[in-house]
Amino acid sequence: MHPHFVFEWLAYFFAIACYFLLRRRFGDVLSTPERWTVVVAAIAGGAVGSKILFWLEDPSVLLQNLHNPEYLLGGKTIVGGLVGGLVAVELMKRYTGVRPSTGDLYAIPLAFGIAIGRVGCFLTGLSDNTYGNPTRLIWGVDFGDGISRHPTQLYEIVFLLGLVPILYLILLSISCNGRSLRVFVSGDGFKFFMLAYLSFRFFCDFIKPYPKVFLGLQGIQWACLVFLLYYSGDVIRWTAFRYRLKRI
Amino acid sequence: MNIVFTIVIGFAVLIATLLFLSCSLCAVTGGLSGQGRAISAVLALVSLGVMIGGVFLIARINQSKEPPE
Repeated sequence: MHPHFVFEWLAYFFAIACYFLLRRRFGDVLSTPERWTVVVAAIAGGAVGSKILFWLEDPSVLLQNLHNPEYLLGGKTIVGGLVGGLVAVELMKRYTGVRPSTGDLYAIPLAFGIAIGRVGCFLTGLSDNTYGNPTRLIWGVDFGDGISRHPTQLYEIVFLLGLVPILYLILLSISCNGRSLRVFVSGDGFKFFMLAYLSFRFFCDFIKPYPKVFLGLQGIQWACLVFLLYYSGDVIRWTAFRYRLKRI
Repeated sequence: MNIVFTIVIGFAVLIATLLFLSCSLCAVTGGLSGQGRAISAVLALVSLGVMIGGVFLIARINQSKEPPE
């Protein structure tokens, strides 16, 4: 069985199990139908978004392959999935009148899920197109073509596994209702995950051999940049809070 | 009743999404034969239709009674 297939399905099941464990541990601000509404928007938006950004990664290749189902079906991007899910959830919440922040419970499952999925990407090798540029560093990996490359999939796994305890502490901080002096409020767990992951991808993709679409940046980096700007207000809020705390 | 409909449609969308993603596993679809690719494409399109239809249906069932701000 293909490693990509095995680890991608493992990632889905592990992420879902992790979500239910966290929901039991921290509770849920939404009612059952509200949660289903948001989850459905997130997964459908994520699936469609992952495809759309994959196609936009290299518009010239897309135009050449408009009648090639293998190309149209044969790829997706995690960043596209995240931003597609985010946009779909925000639209759904607006349409159905759901007001509370809803993403905190997804942050850790997403981090674990992406890390597990990346194991499949790493084991798949060159055909997965997730490897990095050639390198002479001792931890460079030869994926089968005799060239030592940055194992960017492993960098991502290490980063995400390091992020999980921080996200857990943020969730704990959010759930401490008795404390008035809190940096993080409801919704900040997911925002922190998005900021951390999109920042990581923005910088990590500089060492990937993808085509540059505009101003020396790749399509995924542009998507990261746009959504980092979207969350910039939250970074300012967190920083300002820490500054106020120091002055007290 | 809305809760039951929401959960049932939600499950359908969840399964359709997993099917859609399975049909587009980048490394796996590359190894399929011509007929396999055609079946994969049809399955992906059908599951995409179920996904989008399900999302709109759930949104309609749970539509807010108040006008959006």
